Amino acid sequence: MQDNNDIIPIGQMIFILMIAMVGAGILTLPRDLAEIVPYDHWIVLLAGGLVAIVGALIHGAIIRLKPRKQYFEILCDALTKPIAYIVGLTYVLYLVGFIGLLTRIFGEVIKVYLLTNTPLEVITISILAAAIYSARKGIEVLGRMMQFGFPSVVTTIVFIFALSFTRSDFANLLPVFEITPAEILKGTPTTILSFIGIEMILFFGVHLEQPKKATKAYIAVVAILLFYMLIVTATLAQFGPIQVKSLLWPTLDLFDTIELPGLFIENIQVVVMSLWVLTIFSTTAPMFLAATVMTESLTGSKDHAYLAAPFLPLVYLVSIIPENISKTYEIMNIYTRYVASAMIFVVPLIVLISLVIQKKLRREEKVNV
Amino acid sequence: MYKRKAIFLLLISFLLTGCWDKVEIEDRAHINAVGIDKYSSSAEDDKVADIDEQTKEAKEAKDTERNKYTFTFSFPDETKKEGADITIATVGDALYSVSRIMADRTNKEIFLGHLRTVIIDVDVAKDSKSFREILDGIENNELLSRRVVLAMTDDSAGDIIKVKPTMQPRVGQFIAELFRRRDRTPRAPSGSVGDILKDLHETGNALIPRITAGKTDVKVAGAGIISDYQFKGWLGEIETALLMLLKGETRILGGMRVDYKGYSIPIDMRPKKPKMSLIDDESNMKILIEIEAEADVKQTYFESKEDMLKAEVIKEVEELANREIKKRTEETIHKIQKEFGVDVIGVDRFLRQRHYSLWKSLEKDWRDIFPNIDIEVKMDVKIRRIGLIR
Repeated sequence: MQDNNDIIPIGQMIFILMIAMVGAGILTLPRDLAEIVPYDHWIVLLAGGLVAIVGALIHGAIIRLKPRKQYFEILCDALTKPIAYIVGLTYVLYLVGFIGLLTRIFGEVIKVYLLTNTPLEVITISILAAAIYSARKGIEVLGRMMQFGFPSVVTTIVFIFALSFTRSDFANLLPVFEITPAEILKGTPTTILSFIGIEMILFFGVHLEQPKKATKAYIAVVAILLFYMLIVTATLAQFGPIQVKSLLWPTLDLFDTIELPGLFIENIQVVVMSLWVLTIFSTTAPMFLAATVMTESLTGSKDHAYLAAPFLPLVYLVSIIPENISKTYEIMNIYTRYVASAMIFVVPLIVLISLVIQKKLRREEKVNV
Repeated sequence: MYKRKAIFLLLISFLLTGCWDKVEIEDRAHINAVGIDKYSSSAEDDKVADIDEQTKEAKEAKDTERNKYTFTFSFPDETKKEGADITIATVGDALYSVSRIMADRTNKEIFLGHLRTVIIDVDVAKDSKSFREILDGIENNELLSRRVVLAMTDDSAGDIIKVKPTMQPRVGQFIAELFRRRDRTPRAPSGSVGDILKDLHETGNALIPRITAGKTDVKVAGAGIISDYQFKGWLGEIETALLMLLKGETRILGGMRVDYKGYSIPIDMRPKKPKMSLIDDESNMKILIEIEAEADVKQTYFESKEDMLKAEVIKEVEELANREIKKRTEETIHKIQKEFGVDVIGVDRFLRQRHYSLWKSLEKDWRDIFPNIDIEVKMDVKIRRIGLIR
C-alpha cells in the first residue's frame, strides 16, 4: 500500500460524509420538527432524508461522469470557465459562512454547559485551529481519522440514547399518520440543515479510489437518517412534542434525564459534551478542507496546505457577526433554507444536466462522423 | 529559537482552554437542597423558617419588591467529617440571582450542579406568577438536572430543609432517595421535575408531591394539584395512590384491604398499565379505564374457617377487592372532576394521542367539558397467591 497518495476508498468517504452531516443540526432537529408539525415528525424527517438521498445520487453521478477531476474542473466543463469561477467562489464563501455559524453555535453550547468563564473567542479559535491543522494534512488523514473515530462515537451515542429509553413514554409519539402531504412539503426544507455535509463528496470525489462507486454515498445518508430517527424518537418520546418546542437544545436536555443504573456517573452530560466536540470538529474539518481545495483550484496553486490557515480569521469573523444566539439561529435558518439548498441541490443538478447533455451531444457527433 | 518558544507558549494557551473555569472543589458549596418560601416581613409569622444560622440579610430584609422569596440552602460542611449540613437562608427574587448574591457573604461559590431536591412552599404555588417564575428558574438553569425532585409543602420549606434525618444526614439526598426507592408506595406522584415540567408544558396542570416535616424525618404522601400554573388543592394519600393507579404510574399497590366476612384481609397488588378507551355515547362522552392487576393475599385470620385454597373463596375475595377498589377510584375521579375540575388523570393526553380530530374540536373548551364527562372504571384483580397458610 502506498502512503500519502491522497487516495481513499469509498468506505472512508462514507464515514467522512456521515460524520460531516452530524453537525449542529442534531441539537435542534427535534425542536425544528416539532415546530412545523404537531405529529408525525418522523414522516417529515423521512421526506427530508429522501431528498438528501436524491442529492447524494446526483453528486455521485457527477463524480462518475467526470472521474479523477477536481470539482472546479467539473464546474468549468459544465458551466464554462467564467461562471465556474463565480460558482467556485460562491462555494468557498458558502463553506466559510457555514463553518462560521457552526463554530458560533458550538461556542455558545460549550459556554453554557461546560466553560462558562472561558471567552467565546478562545473556544472558537481552539476548535478552528484543530480543524485547520487536520485540513492541512489532506484527505487521507481525515479519512483514516473518521474511520477510526466514527464507530466509537456512534456506539457511545447509541448506547446513551438506549439508556434514555428506559424512562420514556412512547405514547408521546402518537397520533400517527395524521399528516397531510402539504405539511410534509412545508416541513421538508427545515430538515435539510441536518443533511448539510453530503456535498463534501463533490470536493473529495477526485480522491476516490474507484470513482465508479461514488453513488454509494447514499449509504451515508441512509445511515444518518436512521441515526436521526433514533434521536428524534428518543427526544420526542421523552419530552412529548409540546414540550420539545420550548427547549432550546432538546437533544442535550435528553441526556439530562438519563439516570444511569447504579449512578456510577452522575452527570452523563460530560461524556456527551466531549462527543459533541468531536462531532463538530469532524464536521468543520472536511468543510475546511473542501474550502481550501476549492481555493487551490481557483487560484491555480500547487499545494493546498498553506491556504488553510488564512481561512481562520475569515471564519472567525463570520462566527462573531451574529449579535446573539437567536440571531445566530435566524441567520442559520435563512442560510440553510436558501443558500445551502442552492449549493447542495440546485447547482449540482444543473451541473449534472449540463454534463449529461454534453455527453449526448458528443455521442451524436461521433455517430455523425 | 525565540520564535519557537513564542509559538509554543501560544499553543499552550489554546491547549489549556478551560482553565478559566477551574474551581477547587473545597471552594464550592455543593447545594443539595433548596427550600423556597414566600417572603413575609412579619418575623413573628411562624411560616418563616427558624434557622440558627439565619443570616443577617434574612433577618433584616425589608418587604420590598426584590425580596419576594426566602431561599434556604443546605450544603455539606467539608470541615466536619460526619457529614453535617450547613443551612443558610437568604431573601431574593430569583434562584439565580440569589445564588450569585450569596457570593458576597460566603467564602464559597454556590454550585447547583449537584442539587437533588427543591421544596416549595404552597404559598409560592398559590400565586401563578411567582410559581412560574420559580419553575422557569429551575428549567432554565443549565446546571439543574431534570431529575431534581420537586415537592410542595404546607409547612415552611425552610423547616423541611432544616430537618436532619437520622438515616441519611443530607436532607436533599434523603428526600431524593425517598422518591427513587423501588418499593415506594404510590402515595405521592413521581417528584421528578422533568415529569412535572412536561405536564405543565402540555396542559398547565400537574401533580406535585406533598411533603411534610417531622422532627428527624420527612414524609412524602399526597399531592398538590396544579391547574393553570396555580395551586388548586391537596389530594389525600389514598386518593393519590388511586390516581397513580389510574394513570398507570405505579407497579405496586400495597396496603389495600378487603373486608371479608368480618376479617380485614390485606392484599398486595401489582397493577398493569391501564387501558383507556373512548366510548362515544352520542349525547355524552364516556371514558372507560380498564385496570388489570395481579394480587397476593398477605394475611387472613389465624385458624380461620375460610379455606383459601377453595376456588370460590378466592373468587369472592377477588370480587370484593374489585368492588372496593372500583368504588374508591370512582370516588377519587368524582372528587377530581367536581371539586378541582382539573384533568390530572390524563384524559386530555389520551384524546390528543388516540383521537386527534375529536381532540381538536374539544381542545378549547376542555376545561369546561372535563368535569362533565363520564369516566367509568373496570377493575380486574386476579389473586394469584395466598401466602403459606391455607
